[in-house]
Amino acid sequence: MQANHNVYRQRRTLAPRVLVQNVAAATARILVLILAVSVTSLVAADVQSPVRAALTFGFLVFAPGFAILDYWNLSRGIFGAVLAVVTSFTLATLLATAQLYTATWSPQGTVVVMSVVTIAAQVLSIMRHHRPTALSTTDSIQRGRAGT
Amino acid sequence: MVAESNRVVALTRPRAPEVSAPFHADDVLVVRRPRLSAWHTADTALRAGALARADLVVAILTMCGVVVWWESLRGLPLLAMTDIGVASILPPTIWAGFALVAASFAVALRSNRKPALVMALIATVFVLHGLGVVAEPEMRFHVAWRHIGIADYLRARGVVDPELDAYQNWPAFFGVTAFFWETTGVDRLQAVLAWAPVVFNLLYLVPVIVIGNRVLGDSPLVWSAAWLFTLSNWIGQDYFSPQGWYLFIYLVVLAVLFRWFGEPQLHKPESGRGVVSTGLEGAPAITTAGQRAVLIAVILASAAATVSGHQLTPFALMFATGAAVLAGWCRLRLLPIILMVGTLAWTGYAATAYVAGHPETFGQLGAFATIFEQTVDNRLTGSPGHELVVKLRLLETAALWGLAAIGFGRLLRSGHQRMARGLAMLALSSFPLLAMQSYGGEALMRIAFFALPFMAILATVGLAGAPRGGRHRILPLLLAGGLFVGAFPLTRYGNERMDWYPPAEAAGVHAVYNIAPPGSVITSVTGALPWRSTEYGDHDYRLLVDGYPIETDPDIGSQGTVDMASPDPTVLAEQVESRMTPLLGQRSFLIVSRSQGAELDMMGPFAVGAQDRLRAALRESPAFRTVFRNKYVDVFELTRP
Repeated sequence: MQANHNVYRQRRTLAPRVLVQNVAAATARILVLILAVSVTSLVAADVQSPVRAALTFGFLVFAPGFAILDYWNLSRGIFGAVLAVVTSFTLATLLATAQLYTATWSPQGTVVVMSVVTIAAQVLSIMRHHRPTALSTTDSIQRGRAGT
Repeated sequence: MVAESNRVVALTRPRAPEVSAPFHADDVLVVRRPRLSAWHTADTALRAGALARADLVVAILTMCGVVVWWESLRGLPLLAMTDIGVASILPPTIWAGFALVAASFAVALRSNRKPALVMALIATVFVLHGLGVVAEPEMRFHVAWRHIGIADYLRARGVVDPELDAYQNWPAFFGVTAFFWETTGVDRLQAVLAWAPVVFNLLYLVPVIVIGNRVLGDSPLVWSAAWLFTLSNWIGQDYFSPQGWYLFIYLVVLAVLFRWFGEPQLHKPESGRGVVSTGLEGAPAITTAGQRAVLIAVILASAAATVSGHQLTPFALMFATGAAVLAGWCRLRLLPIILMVGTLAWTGYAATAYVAGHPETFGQLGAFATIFEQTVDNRLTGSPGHELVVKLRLLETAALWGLAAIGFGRLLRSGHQRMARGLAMLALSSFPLLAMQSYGGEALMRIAFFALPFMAILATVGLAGAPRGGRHRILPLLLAGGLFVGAFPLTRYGNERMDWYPPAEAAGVHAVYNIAPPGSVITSVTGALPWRSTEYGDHDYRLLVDGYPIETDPDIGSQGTVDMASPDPTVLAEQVESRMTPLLGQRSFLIVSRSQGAELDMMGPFAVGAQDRLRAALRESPAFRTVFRNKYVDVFELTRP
């Protein structure tokens, strides 16, 4: 009986807010993956269009940092987003500067490297956040529902 | 029925031990609250409705303010601007726009609603820092154009040339700009980067609010400090520049340190017996070892990008983190030392070409009198209008620092000794930079720039009262804010007569690049010109007014200011010819434009109309011919090599 009360309470509380947050986080993760794959394809195919400019900029300023920080649950909220921007910019800055000093300047190659890093980090993050043993809120509800 | 009678609420941070679900650090907790009466529930709903109405009122006020502001800026007679800058041509209606936006912040502050406060702050940044972007047809300020040229140079060559100039010794910011430019394929970067002041000032607000929350832990004060920070940022370093970007990094690093690496708060208030406090009011964030490792990596990587991207910011960051460690607000005690070693290593290894070529850069160490003279006295010269603007800037800065001192006193009196000490140490942490060098006469401005966030926080306390000390006094804060808003067009856009460019002026400069073959000498009267945004390393760039003393010798050579007050036009033309002398086989061009004339009129060192005298002398001289001319630009070519 008490377990049922807990389930009721959790469902009422979590449904409107936490689940929305979880859905938003999952959507962001999927969008980052799609963005990484799209930008890599556009750069590899050398497509010249304003869409490429917008997608590439959006990807480079946010996605790598978000993917890395998301794995560690550090990308939440406005400051998390700002931290993702700083991380992405810093990564791009260090790569670009290293290339300038070693005469290996390759912006397109750097985009591919950053895409690979993003995809790898994001896939790991998804695996971490959605593995069965994780104590996510969804798990809590499911456990409650199962009376465990 | 027990479940129905209990209200439950989701919180994002553990606050009470009454936890009813398993969790880890970042999970969401379910906390039970006691049963609420029907009256309380109705009251809460009413309040919620009233607060929602506040959001609506703020939205309407900001929208009206921005629309009035926008309409006021249409067709602004920029050419009629005087030496006090854009304030001389603003229509009365724009002040109504400013007033509406300021009123929106007052309503938002009273409601203490986050959506309302966010709307009001964004609108404030937009109408103040976007004024130059919206009102002017081209990207403002010549240095921003030059920065695009440096990025273009790196984009085209893919390597740095440390022998070229200082920028090439700290190239990280320009390298990443070149990288973004190349990968996005944007055609005209000026149109995008003109918005840098708005974007940077919006970005600054986030870490400022995080720092404020952690230090003060008092929402109305924190939002007020962010507002005051925006209003008092007249310093104008937030154009497309390394210092503009790296101030953001500086603030984010400090915000991360205070949020995740601050000493744990043991108890408050500070004056209690047997308790210890760090002076940080906000709750520290809970982290795992992995999170801390990632955050440290982000801090170190950001510091590395800063060290390789700007001369001054790494020192400011080193001093600020050192102050944070001394204040007990940062557990990463080695960080200032790591920053110092990294900065010195970069200067001594990667920037040796610049250091070897400019020993005078380090010759001013400790020469306070000289540095002060270059940073303050030399700026208090020029036309009466310009002097008025400079004095207003100094007055505003002094007023903010004075309010900060009052805030410091208030914190001490209210028992927040450690908070007062920590904020004061951070606010003053950049002042040792003044002992290092004048930084081209800008040292004091840069110090004010780094100190501004902490001065604004302290000044807010000075105006509104100490945190968690009962009701805050909003009226003095709003009055001071109103004065800062009123002064903003003067202090921030006081140099606008020389900093704005009509499209024909930019086109005139571009025409030179169409005419001049690679390797040409391109000379400008002063630096106030939208030039060097392309072919940065392809030409030999020179100035007639170069900051050195005025020379009267006709054979002036490569250094010294050409005497535009010379009564003999022939001598003046000969001096210009001497300065422009090219190597064998090179061509040599001189650009004379509207904005340079404005700079000479405003800043001196000659009487008003110096550039007109120069232009007349060159037209009469057989050594020059006009190769391009429009309403704002004359381009002369030296015909006698």
